[in-house]
Amino acid sequence: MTPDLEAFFAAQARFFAAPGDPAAAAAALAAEFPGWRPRPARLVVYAEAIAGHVRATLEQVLPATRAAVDADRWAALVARHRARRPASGALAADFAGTLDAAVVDLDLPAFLPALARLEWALVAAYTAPDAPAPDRAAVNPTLDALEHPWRLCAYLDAPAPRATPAAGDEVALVWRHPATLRVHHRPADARALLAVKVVAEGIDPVAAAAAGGVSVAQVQAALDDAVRDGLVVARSS
Amino acid sequence: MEPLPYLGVGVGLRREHFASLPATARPLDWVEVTPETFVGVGGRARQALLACRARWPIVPHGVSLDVGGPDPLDDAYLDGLRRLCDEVDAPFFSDHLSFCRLGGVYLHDLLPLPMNEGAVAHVAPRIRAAAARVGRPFLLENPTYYEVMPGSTLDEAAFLARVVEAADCGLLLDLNNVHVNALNHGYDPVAFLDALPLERVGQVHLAGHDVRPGVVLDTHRGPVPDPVWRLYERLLARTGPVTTLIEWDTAVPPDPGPLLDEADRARALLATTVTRRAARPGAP
Ligand SMILES: [Fe+2]
Repeated sequence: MTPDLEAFFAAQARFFAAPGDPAAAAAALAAEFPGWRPRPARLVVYAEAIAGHVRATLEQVLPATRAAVDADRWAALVARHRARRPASGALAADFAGTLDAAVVDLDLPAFLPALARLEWALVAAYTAPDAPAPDRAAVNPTLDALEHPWRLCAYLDAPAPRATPAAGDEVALVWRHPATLRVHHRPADARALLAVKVVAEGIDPVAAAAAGGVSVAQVQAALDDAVRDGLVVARSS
Repeated sequence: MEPLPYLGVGVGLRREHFASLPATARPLDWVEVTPETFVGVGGRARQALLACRARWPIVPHGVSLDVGGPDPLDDAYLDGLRRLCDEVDAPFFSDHLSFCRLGGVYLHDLLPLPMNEGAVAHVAPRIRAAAARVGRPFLLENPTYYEVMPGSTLDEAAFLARVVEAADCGLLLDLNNVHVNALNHGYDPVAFLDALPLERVGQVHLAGHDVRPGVVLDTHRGPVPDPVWRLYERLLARTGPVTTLIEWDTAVPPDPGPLLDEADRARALLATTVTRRAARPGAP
Protein backbone atom coordinates (compact mmCIF):
# COMPACT_ATOMS: atom_id res chain seq x y z
CA MET A 1 0.00 0.00 0.00
CA THR A 2 1.31 3.47 -0.86
CA PRO A 3 1.86 5.97 2.00
CA ASP A 4 -0.86 8.15 0.42
CA LEU A 5 -3.35 5.31 0.57
CA GLU A 6 -2.39 4.52 4.17
CA ALA A 7 -2.94 8.17 5.09
CA PHE A 8 -6.29 8.10 3.30
CA PHE A 9 -7.52 5.09 5.30
CA ALA A 10 -6.23 6.54 8.57
CA ALA A 11 -8.16 9.75 7.90
CA GLN A 12 -11.29 7.75 7.00
CA ALA A 13 -11.00 5.81 10.26
CA ARG A 14 -10.83 9.08 12.23
CA PHE A 15 -13.80 10.42 10.28
CA PHE A 16 -16.05 7.44 10.97
CA ALA A 17 -15.00 7.19 14.63
CA ALA A 18 -15.54 10.92 15.27
CA PRO A 19 -18.24 11.42 17.88
CA GLY A 20 -21.03 13.94 17.53
CA ASP A 21 -21.61 16.33 14.68
CA PRO A 22 -21.03 14.74 11.22
CA ALA A 23 -20.64 18.18 9.60
CA ALA A 24 -17.74 18.98 11.93
CA ALA A 25 -16.17 15.59 11.23
CA ALA A 26 -16.53 16.20 7.47
CA ALA A 27 -14.83 19.59 7.77
CA ALA A 28 -12.01 18.01 9.79
CA LEU A 29 -11.58 15.28 7.15
CA ALA A 30 -11.47 17.82 4.33
CA ALA A 31 -8.85 19.85 6.18
CA GLU A 32 -6.52 16.83 6.30
CA PHE A 33 -5.95 16.96 2.52
CA PRO A 34 -4.75 20.34 1.24
CA GLY A 35 -6.11 21.00 -2.22
CA TRP A 36 -9.07 18.65 -1.79
CA ARG A 37 -12.35 20.56 -2.03
CA PRO A 38 -15.11 18.09 -1.18
CA ARG A 39 -18.73 19.12 -0.75
CA PRO A 40 -19.09 18.56 3.03
CA ALA A 41 -22.76 17.56 2.66
CA ARG A 42 -21.65 14.66 0.45
CA LEU A 43 -19.29 13.37 3.18
CA VAL A 44 -22.04 13.74 5.75
CA VAL A 45 -24.15 11.33 3.66
CA TYR A 46 -21.64 8.59 4.51
CA ALA A 47 -21.33 9.43 8.21
CA GLU A 48 -25.10 9.49 8.57
CA ALA A 49 -25.66 6.33 6.53
CA ILE A 50 -23.19 4.32 8.59
CA ALA A 51 -24.42 5.55 11.98
CA GLY A 52 -28.02 5.22 10.80
CA HIS A 53 -27.45 1.63 9.75
CA VAL A 54 -26.00 0.70 13.14
CA ARG A 55 -28.90 2.38 14.93
CA ALA A 56 -31.61 0.89 12.70
CA THR A 57 -30.18 -2.63 12.89
CA LEU A 58 -29.84 -2.55 16.68
CA GLU A 59 -33.37 -1.19 17.07
CA GLN A 60 -34.81 -3.83 14.78
CA VAL A 61 -32.98 -6.76 16.37
CA LEU A 62 -33.04 -5.64 20.02
CA PRO A 63 -36.33 -3.73 20.45
CA ALA A 64 -36.77 -4.43 24.17
CA THR A 65 -33.17 -3.42 24.89
CA ARG A 66 -33.73 -0.20 22.98
CA ALA A 67 -36.97 0.51 24.86
CA ALA A 68 -35.22 0.11 28.24
CA VAL A 69 -32.96 3.17 27.84
CA ASP A 70 -33.69 6.82 27.14
CA ALA A 71 -32.85 8.46 23.80
CA ASP A 72 -29.64 10.18 24.95
CA ARG A 73 -28.04 7.08 26.39
CA TRP A 74 -29.21 5.04 23.40
CA ALA A 75 -27.49 7.51 21.06
CA ALA A 76 -24.29 7.22 23.12
CA LEU A 77 -24.43 3.42 22.94
CA VAL A 78 -25.02 3.41 19.18
CA ALA A 79 -22.02 5.72 18.74
CA ARG A 80 -19.80 3.41 20.81
CA HIS A 81 -20.80 0.17 19.12
CA ARG A 82 -18.42 -1.34 16.56
CA ALA A 83 -19.50 -4.10 14.15
CA ARG A 84 -16.92 -6.84 13.80
CA ARG A 85 -18.74 -9.37 11.64
CA PRO A 86 -19.18 -9.28 7.86
CA ALA A 87 -22.95 -9.92 7.98
CA SER A 88 -24.73 -6.68 8.74
CA GLY A 89 -27.56 -8.64 10.36
CA ALA A 90 -25.00 -9.86 12.93
CA LEU A 91 -24.17 -6.29 13.91
CA ALA A 92 -26.11 -6.76 17.15
CA ALA A 93 -24.27 -9.97 18.08
CA ASP A 94 -21.65 -8.19 20.14
CA PHE A 95 -23.83 -5.38 21.47
CA ALA A 96 -24.10 -6.98 24.92
CA GLY A 97 -20.33 -6.48 25.18
CA THR A 98 -20.75 -2.78 24.35
CA LEU A 99 -23.37 -2.62 27.12
CA ASP A 100 -21.15 -4.48 29.63
CA ALA A 101 -18.49 -1.83 29.11
CA ALA A 102 -21.00 1.03 29.51
CA VAL A 103 -23.16 -0.08 32.45
CA VAL A 104 -21.25 1.93 35.02
CA ASP A 105 -20.31 5.11 33.17
CA LEU A 106 -23.66 5.51 31.42
CA ASP A 107 -25.54 4.36 34.54
CA LEU A 108 -27.47 1.74 32.57
CA PRO A 109 -29.99 -0.64 34.17
CA ALA A 110 -28.02 -3.66 35.41
CA PHE A 111 -30.22 -6.13 33.52
CA LEU A 112 -29.61 -4.49 30.13
CA PRO A 113 -26.63 -6.62 28.94
CA ALA A 114 -28.48 -9.83 29.87
CA LEU A 115 -31.58 -8.60 28.04
CA ALA A 116 -29.51 -7.85 24.93
CA ARG A 117 -27.98 -11.34 25.13
CA LEU A 118 -31.44 -12.87 25.33
CA GLU A 119 -32.79 -10.85 22.41
CA TRP A 120 -29.72 -11.69 20.32
CA ALA A 121 -30.12 -15.38 21.21
CA LEU A 122 -33.53 -15.30 19.50
CA VAL A 123 -31.88 -14.14 16.27
CA ALA A 124 -28.99 -16.58 16.66
CA ALA A 125 -31.45 -19.47 17.04
CA TYR A 126 -33.43 -18.33 14.01
CA THR A 127 -30.34 -18.26 11.81
CA ALA A 128 -28.36 -21.15 13.39
CA PRO A 129 -26.97 -23.63 10.86
CA ASP A 130 -29.05 -26.70 10.13
CA ALA A 131 -27.73 -29.91 11.66
CA PRO A 132 -27.96 -33.26 9.88
CA ALA A 133 -30.81 -35.44 11.15
CA PRO A 134 -29.41 -37.38 14.14
CA ASP A 135 -29.25 -41.19 14.19
CA ARG A 136 -30.43 -41.12 17.81
CA ALA A 137 -32.36 -38.62 19.91
CA ALA A 138 -30.25 -35.48 20.38
CA VAL A 139 -30.50 -32.11 22.07
CA ASN A 140 -31.65 -29.53 19.53
CA PRO A 141 -28.35 -27.99 18.31
CA THR A 142 -29.97 -24.52 18.21
CA LEU A 143 -30.78 -24.68 21.95
CA ASP A 144 -29.10 -22.01 24.05
CA ALA A 145 -29.39 -21.59 27.83
CA LEU A 146 -28.80 -18.14 29.34
CA GLU A 147 -28.50 -17.67 33.09
CA HIS A 148 -29.26 -14.35 34.76
CA PRO A 149 -30.70 -13.07 38.04
CA TRP A 150 -33.85 -11.55 36.45
CA ARG A 151 -37.12 -12.95 35.08
CA LEU A 152 -36.32 -11.81 31.57
CA CYS A 153 -38.53 -14.25 29.67
CA ALA A 154 -41.64 -12.79 31.30
CA TYR A 155 -40.22 -9.30 30.79
CA LEU A 156 -39.79 -9.93 27.07
CA ASP A 157 -43.32 -11.31 26.80
CA ALA A 158 -44.90 -8.36 28.60
CA PRO A 159 -46.44 -5.64 26.43
CA ALA A 160 -44.49 -2.39 26.13
CA PRO A 161 -44.00 -0.15 27.99
CA ARG A 162 -42.49 -2.62 30.42
CA ALA A 163 -41.68 -2.12 34.09
CA THR A 164 -38.34 -3.27 35.52
CA PRO A 165 -37.91 -7.05 35.33
CA ALA A 166 -38.57 -8.99 38.52
CA ALA A 167 -35.49 -10.24 40.35
CA GLY A 168 -34.94 -14.00 40.54
CA ASP A 169 -32.56 -16.54 39.03
CA GLU A 170 -33.60 -17.78 35.61
CA VAL A 171 -32.19 -20.13 33.01
CA ALA A 172 -33.75 -18.91 29.78
CA LEU A 173 -34.01 -21.56 27.07
CA VAL A 174 -33.98 -20.32 23.48
CA TRP A 175 -34.32 -22.64 20.51
CA ARG A 176 -35.62 -23.03 16.95
CA HIS A 177 -38.22 -25.76 16.60
CA PRO A 178 -36.84 -28.29 14.09
CA ALA A 179 -40.20 -28.76 12.33
CA THR A 180 -41.87 -25.33 12.42
CA LEU A 181 -38.58 -23.35 12.39
CA ARG A 182 -40.19 -20.97 14.89
CA VAL A 183 -38.00 -19.62 17.68
CA HIS A 184 -39.19 -20.15 21.27
CA HIS A 185 -38.00 -18.88 24.63
CA ARG A 186 -39.07 -19.85 28.11
CA PRO A 187 -37.61 -20.26 31.58
CA ALA A 188 -36.22 -23.75 32.07
CA ASP A 189 -38.15 -25.98 34.47
CA ALA A 190 -37.09 -29.23 36.13
CA ARG A 191 -38.82 -31.45 33.55
CA ALA A 192 -37.22 -29.75 30.56
CA LEU A 193 -33.79 -29.82 32.19
CA LEU A 194 -34.25 -33.51 33.06
CA ALA A 195 -35.16 -34.40 29.47
CA VAL A 196 -32.22 -32.42 28.06
CA LYS A 197 -29.81 -34.02 30.54
CA VAL A 198 -31.07 -37.56 29.84
CA VAL A 199 -30.67 -37.05 26.09
CA ALA A 200 -27.39 -35.12 26.24
CA GLU A 201 -25.70 -37.65 28.49
CA GLY A 202 -27.36 -40.74 26.99
CA ILE A 203 -28.76 -41.75 30.40
CA ASP A 204 -31.09 -44.76 30.46
CA PRO A 205 -34.58 -43.49 31.45
CA VAL A 206 -34.84 -46.27 34.07
CA ALA A 207 -31.58 -45.12 35.68
CA ALA A 208 -32.70 -41.49 35.42
CA ALA A 209 -35.99 -42.33 37.16
CA ALA A 210 -34.21 -44.17 39.96
CA ALA A 211 -31.68 -41.35 40.43
CA GLY A 212 -34.38 -38.66 40.44
CA GLY A 213 -36.86 -40.53 42.61
CA VAL A 214 -39.56 -40.38 39.92
CA SER A 215 -41.32 -43.02 37.86
CA VAL A 216 -40.03 -44.19 34.48
CA ALA A 217 -43.35 -43.01 33.03
CA GLN A 218 -42.64 -39.51 34.32
CA VAL A 219 -39.20 -39.49 32.67
CA GLN A 220 -40.69 -40.76 29.45
CA ALA A 221 -43.42 -38.08 29.54
CA ALA A 222 -40.77 -35.39 30.04
CA LEU A 223 -38.86 -36.75 27.04
CA ASP A 224 -42.01 -36.85 24.91
CA ASP A 225 -42.81 -33.23 25.79
CA ALA A 226 -39.25 -32.16 25.01
CA VAL A 227 -39.52 -33.76 21.56
CA ARG A 228 -42.94 -32.15 20.97
CA ASP A 229 -41.60 -28.74 22.00
CA GLY A 230 -38.45 -29.18 19.91
CA LEU A 231 -35.92 -29.06 22.76
CA VAL A 232 -34.94 -32.56 21.74
CA VAL A 233 -34.74 -33.77 18.15
CA ALA A 234 -36.04 -37.31 17.76
CA ARG A 235 -34.04 -39.91 15.89
CA SER A 236 -34.76 -39.67 12.16
CA SER A 237 -36.76 -42.70 11.05
CA MET B 1 -10.47 -13.74 -18.70
CA GLU B 2 -12.57 -16.82 -19.43
CA PRO B 3 -15.91 -16.26 -21.22
CA LEU B 4 -18.75 -16.13 -18.70
CA PRO B 5 -22.05 -17.96 -19.22
CA TYR B 6 -25.16 -16.01 -20.21
CA LEU B 7 -27.83 -16.63 -17.56
CA GLY B 8 -30.77 -14.45 -18.67
CA VAL B 9 -32.64 -12.27 -16.16
CA GLY B 10 -32.60 -12.81 -12.41
CA VAL B 11 -33.74 -11.21 -9.18
CA GLY B 12 -32.21 -11.15 -5.72
CA LEU B 13 -33.49 -13.55 -3.07
CA ARG B 14 -34.80 -11.31 -0.27
CA ARG B 15 -36.12 -12.28 3.16
CA GLU B 16 -39.59 -11.07 2.18
CA HIS B 17 -39.69 -13.66 -0.62
CA PHE B 18 -38.16 -16.72 1.06
CA ALA B 19 -41.41 -18.64 0.63
CA SER B 20 -42.93 -16.99 -2.45
CA LEU B 21 -39.99 -16.72 -4.86
CA PRO B 22 -39.06 -20.43 -5.00
CA ALA B 23 -42.75 -21.19 -5.67
CA THR B 24 -43.30 -18.62 -8.42
CA ALA B 25 -44.84 -19.74 -11.70
CA ARG B 26 -43.52 -16.59 -13.45
CA PRO B 27 -40.49 -16.68 -15.77
CA LEU B 28 -37.18 -16.36 -13.93
CA ASP B 29 -33.75 -17.44 -15.16
CA TRP B 30 -31.41 -17.17 -12.17
CA VAL B 31 -31.20 -15.87 -8.61
CA GLU B 32 -28.64 -13.64 -6.90
CA VAL B 33 -27.92 -14.16 -3.18
CA THR B 34 -25.93 -12.08 -0.71
CA PRO B 35 -23.47 -14.47 0.95
CA GLU B 36 -23.70 -12.41 4.15
CA THR B 37 -27.32 -13.60 4.49
CA PHE B 38 -26.75 -17.28 3.70
CA VAL B 39 -23.27 -18.44 4.72
CA GLY B 40 -23.46 -20.52 7.90
CA VAL B 41 -27.18 -19.81 8.18
CA GLY B 42 -29.87 -22.49 8.50
CA GLY B 43 -33.62 -22.40 8.98
CA ARG B 44 -35.85 -20.50 6.58
CA ALA B 45 -32.98 -18.77 4.76
CA ARG B 46 -31.37 -22.11 3.94
CA GLN B 47 -34.68 -23.68 2.93
CA ALA B 48 -35.21 -20.79 0.50
CA LEU B 49 -31.67 -21.06 -0.86
CA LEU B 50 -31.99 -24.80 -1.50
CA ALA B 51 -35.46 -24.40 -3.05
CA CYS B 52 -34.10 -21.77 -5.44
CA ARG B 53 -31.03 -23.87 -6.18
CA ALA B 54 -33.31 -26.72 -7.23
CA ARG B 55 -34.83 -24.49 -9.93
CA TRP B 56 -32.25 -21.91 -11.04
CA PRO B 57 -28.55 -21.04 -11.22
CA ILE B 58 -27.43 -19.13 -8.11
CA VAL B 59 -24.85 -16.31 -8.12
CA PRO B 60 -23.41 -14.97 -4.82
CA HIS B 61 -23.10 -11.18 -4.81
CA GLY B 62 -21.36 -9.90 -1.69
CA VAL B 63 -20.97 -6.59 0.09
CA SER B 64 -18.25 -7.48 2.64
CA LEU B 65 -15.35 -8.84 0.57
CA ASP B 66 -13.61 -5.48 1.04
CA VAL B 67 -11.36 -5.65 -2.04
CA GLY B 68 -10.40 -2.02 -1.49
CA GLY B 69 -9.73 -1.94 2.24
CA PRO B 70 -6.49 -1.73 4.21
CA ASP B 71 -7.15 -4.80 6.40
CA PRO B 72 -6.07 -8.26 5.21
CA LEU B 73 -8.83 -10.16 3.39
CA ASP B 74 -11.08 -11.96 5.91
CA ASP B 75 -10.08 -15.64 5.66
CA ALA B 76 -13.21 -16.91 7.40
CA TYR B 77 -15.40 -14.85 5.08
CA LEU B 78 -13.57 -16.19 2.01
CA ASP B 79 -13.86 -19.77 3.25
CA GLY B 80 -17.60 -19.31 3.74
CA LEU B 81 -17.89 -17.78 0.28
CA ARG B 82 -16.03 -20.71 -1.23
CA ARG B 83 -18.30 -23.21 0.53
CA LEU B 84 -21.39 -21.37 -0.71
CA CYS B 85 -20.06 -21.15 -4.28
CA ASP B 86 -19.19 -24.84 -4.25
CA GLU B 87 -22.53 -25.85 -2.79
CA VAL B 88 -24.59 -23.96 -5.39
CA ASP B 89 -21.98 -24.48 -8.13
CA ALA B 90 -21.91 -20.73 -8.78
CA PRO B 91 -20.86 -19.81 -12.33
CA PHE B 92 -19.17 -16.70 -10.88
CA PHE B 93 -19.35 -14.40 -7.85
CA SER B 94 -19.14 -10.66 -7.40
CA ASP B 95 -18.57 -7.72 -5.05
CA HIS B 96 -17.85 -4.00 -5.28
CA LEU B 97 -14.89 -1.71 -6.05
CA SER B 98 -14.92 -0.13 -2.59
CA PHE B 99 -13.85 -0.68 1.01
CA CYS B 100 -16.04 -1.53 3.99
CA ARG B 101 -13.67 -2.36 6.87
CA LEU B 102 -11.17 -0.29 8.86
CA GLY B 103 -9.11 -1.76 11.68
CA GLY B 104 -11.36 -4.81 11.92
CA VAL B 105 -14.55 -2.74 12.14
CA TYR B 106 -17.15 -3.41 9.46
CA LEU B 107 -18.80 -0.16 8.40
CA HIS B 108 -21.44 -1.98 6.34
CA ASP B 109 -21.31 0.52 3.52
CA LEU B 110 -19.61 0.56 0.11
CA LEU B 111 -17.06 3.31 0.60
CA PRO B 112 -15.18 4.95 -2.28
CA LEU B 113 -11.43 4.77 -2.83
CA PRO B 114 -9.16 7.43 -4.24
CA MET B 115 -9.08 6.79 -7.98
CA ASN B 116 -5.37 6.52 -8.79
CA GLU B 117 -2.65 4.04 -9.78
CA GLY B 118 -1.77 3.38 -6.13
CA ALA B 119 -5.30 2.13 -5.50
CA VAL B 120 -5.18 0.01 -8.68
CA ALA B 121 -1.99 -1.62 -7.43
CA HIS B 122 -3.58 -2.21 -4.03
CA VAL B 123 -6.91 -3.62 -5.22
CA ALA B 124 -5.92 -5.80 -8.19
CA PRO B 125 -3.85 -8.38 -6.22
CA ARG B 126 -6.59 -8.59 -3.59
CA ILE B 127 -9.13 -9.41 -6.30
CA ARG B 128 -6.82 -12.04 -7.77
CA ALA B 129 -6.27 -13.56 -4.31
CA ALA B 130 -10.00 -13.64 -3.54
CA ALA B 131 -10.88 -15.22 -6.90
CA ALA B 132 -8.15 -17.85 -6.44
CA ARG B 133 -9.28 -18.63 -2.91
CA VAL B 134 -12.94 -18.97 -3.92
CA GLY B 135 -12.02 -20.83 -7.10
CA ARG B 136 -14.59 -19.10 -9.34
CA PRO B 137 -14.48 -16.21 -11.83
CA PHE B 138 -14.96 -12.83 -10.13
CA LEU B 139 -16.97 -9.84 -11.35
CA LEU B 140 -16.26 -6.38 -9.94
CA GLU B 141 -19.17 -3.95 -9.60
CA ASN B 142 -18.87 -0.20 -10.21
CA PRO B 143 -20.15 1.40 -6.99
CA THR B 144 -21.75 4.78 -6.45
CA TYR B 145 -19.72 7.50 -4.75
CA TYR B 146 -20.99 10.80 -3.47
CA GLU B 147 -17.66 12.58 -3.48
CA VAL B 148 -14.34 12.10 -5.30
CA MET B 149 -11.80 11.03 -2.67
CA PRO B 150 -8.54 12.95 -2.14
CA GLY B 151 -5.56 11.95 -4.25
CA SER B 152 -7.69 10.89 -7.24
CA THR B 153 -5.89 11.29 -10.55
CA LEU B 154 -7.97 9.01 -12.80
CA ASP B 155 -11.56 9.52 -13.86
CA GLU B 156 -14.04 6.87 -12.81
CA ALA B 157 -14.15 4.97 -16.11
CA ALA B 158 -10.34 4.87 -16.36
CA PHE B 159 -10.02 3.70 -12.76
CA LEU B 160 -12.57 0.93 -13.24
CA ALA B 161 -10.95 -0.16 -16.50
CA ARG B 162 -7.47 -0.15 -14.96
CA VAL B 163 -8.60 -2.30 -12.02
CA VAL B 164 -10.49 -4.96 -14.00
CA GLU B 165 -7.65 -5.20 -16.48
CA ALA B 166 -4.95 -5.43 -13.80
CA ALA B 167 -7.00 -8.01 -11.87
CA ASP B 168 -8.09 -9.74 -15.11
CA CYS B 169 -11.64 -10.03 -13.78
CA GLY B 170 -15.08 -9.40 -15.18
CA LEU B 171 -17.19 -6.29 -14.79
CA LEU B 172 -20.58 -6.24 -13.12
CA LEU B 173 -21.93 -3.05 -14.61
CA ASP B 174 -24.60 -1.45 -12.41
CA LEU B 175 -26.40 0.93 -14.76
CA ASN B 176 -28.29 2.63 -11.94
CA ASN B 177 -24.93 3.38 -10.36
CA VAL B 178 -23.72 4.82 -13.68
CA HIS B 179 -26.83 7.00 -13.86
CA VAL B 180 -26.57 8.10 -10.20
CA ASN B 181 -22.85 8.88 -10.51
CA ALA B 182 -23.44 10.79 -13.74
CA LEU B 183 -26.03 12.96 -11.97
CA ASN B 184 -23.97 13.44 -8.80
CA HIS B 185 -20.75 14.28 -10.65
CA GLY B 186 -22.12 15.87 -13.81
CA TYR B 187 -20.81 13.54 -16.50
CA ASP B 188 -22.31 11.96 -19.61
CA PRO B 189 -23.30 8.35 -18.80
CA VAL B 190 -23.10 7.27 -22.46
CA ALA B 191 -19.56 8.59 -22.81
CA PHE B 192 -18.78 6.75 -19.56
CA LEU B 193 -20.01 3.46 -21.06
CA ASP B 194 -17.97 4.12 -24.20
CA ALA B 195 -14.82 4.45 -22.09
CA LEU B 196 -15.23 1.03 -20.41
CA PRO B 197 -13.83 -2.31 -21.57
CA LEU B 198 -17.34 -3.57 -22.36
CA GLU B 199 -16.02 -6.96 -23.47
CA ARG B 200 -15.49 -7.64 -19.76
CA VAL B 201 -19.13 -7.01 -18.77
CA GLY B 202 -20.43 -10.34 -17.48
CA GLN B 203 -23.51 -9.04 -15.73
CA VAL B 204 -25.68 -5.94 -15.38
CA HIS B 205 -27.57 -4.57 -12.37
CA LEU B 206 -30.74 -2.55 -12.93
CA ALA B 207 -32.15 -0.67 -9.95
CA GLY B 208 -33.80 2.49 -8.69
CA HIS B 209 -32.59 5.41 -6.59
CA ASP B 210 -33.80 8.34 -4.46
CA VAL B 211 -33.43 11.98 -5.45
CA ARG B 212 -32.65 14.19 -2.42
CA PRO B 213 -31.76 17.86 -2.28
CA GLY B 214 -28.22 18.17 -3.62
CA VAL B 215 -27.58 14.45 -4.05
CA VAL B 216 -29.01 11.32 -5.69
CA LEU B 217 -28.84 8.27 -3.41
CA ASP B 218 -28.25 4.71 -4.59
CA THR B 219 -31.03 3.09 -2.56
CA HIS B 220 -32.16 0.25 -4.87
CA ARG B 221 -35.72 1.35 -4.40
CA GLY B 222 -37.51 -0.02 -7.44
CA PRO B 223 -38.91 0.03 -10.07
CA VAL B 224 -36.11 0.76 -12.54
CA PRO B 225 -36.44 4.38 -13.77
CA ASP B 226 -36.64 5.23 -17.47
CA PRO B 227 -33.15 6.76 -17.84
CA VAL B 228 -31.67 3.49 -16.53
CA TRP B 229 -33.71 1.49 -19.05
CA ARG B 230 -32.43 3.76 -21.82
CA LEU B 231 -28.84 3.16 -20.70
CA TYR B 232 -29.56 -0.57 -20.69
CA GLU B 233 -30.75 -0.40 -24.31
CA ARG B 234 -27.62 1.54 -25.29
CA LEU B 235 -25.46 -1.01 -23.55
CA LEU B 236 -27.19 -4.01 -25.14
CA ALA B 237 -26.75 -2.45 -28.57
CA ARG B 238 -23.02 -2.49 -27.85
CA THR B 239 -22.63 -5.81 -26.04
CA GLY B 240 -25.47 -8.05 -27.15
CA PRO B 241 -27.34 -10.08 -24.53
CA VAL B 242 -25.80 -9.90 -21.08
CA THR B 243 -26.80 -11.57 -17.81
CA THR B 244 -29.08 -9.10 -16.02
CA LEU B 245 -30.35 -8.66 -12.47
CA ILE B 246 -33.19 -6.55 -11.09
CA GLU B 247 -31.89 -5.13 -7.79
CA TRP B 248 -34.64 -4.01 -5.41
CA ASP B 249 -33.56 -3.80 -1.77
CA THR B 250 -35.46 -0.87 -0.24
CA ALA B 251 -39.22 -1.01 0.40
CA VAL B 252 -39.23 -4.53 -1.04
CA PRO B 253 -42.83 -5.41 -2.01
CA PRO B 254 -44.32 -8.30 -0.02
CA ASP B 255 -44.87 -10.26 -3.22
CA PRO B 256 -42.06 -10.70 -5.81
CA GLY B 257 -44.51 -9.84 -8.63
CA PRO B 258 -43.31 -6.25 -9.14
CA LEU B 259 -39.68 -7.45 -9.35
CA LEU B 260 -40.66 -10.12 -11.86
CA ASP B 261 -42.51 -7.46 -13.90
CA GLU B 262 -39.21 -5.58 -14.16
CA ALA B 263 -37.45 -8.84 -15.07
CA ASP B 264 -40.02 -9.39 -17.85
CA ARG B 265 -39.26 -5.94 -19.23
CA ALA B 266 -35.54 -6.68 -19.27
CA ARG B 267 -36.16 -10.06 -20.88
CA ALA B 268 -38.21 -8.44 -23.63
CA LEU B 269 -35.35 -6.03 -24.37
CA LEU B 270 -32.85 -8.87 -24.39
CA ALA B 271 -35.02 -10.81 -26.85
CA THR B 272 -34.95 -7.94 -29.33
CA THR B 273 -31.22 -7.39 -28.96
CA VAL B 274 -29.12 -8.28 -31.94
CA THR B 275 -26.94 -11.13 -30.79
CA ARG B 276 -23.45 -9.83 -31.15
CA ARG B 277 -22.06 -12.46 -28.87
CA ALA B 278 -23.61 -15.48 -30.54
CA ALA B 279 -20.63 -17.53 -29.47
CA ARG B 280 -21.44 -16.98 -25.81
CA PRO B 281 -22.64 -20.17 -24.19
CA GLY B 282 -26.39 -19.93 -23.62
CA ALA B 283 -26.91 -16.60 -25.40
CA PRO B 284 -30.33 -16.31 -27.06
FE1 LIG C 1 -25.60 -3.12 -7.84
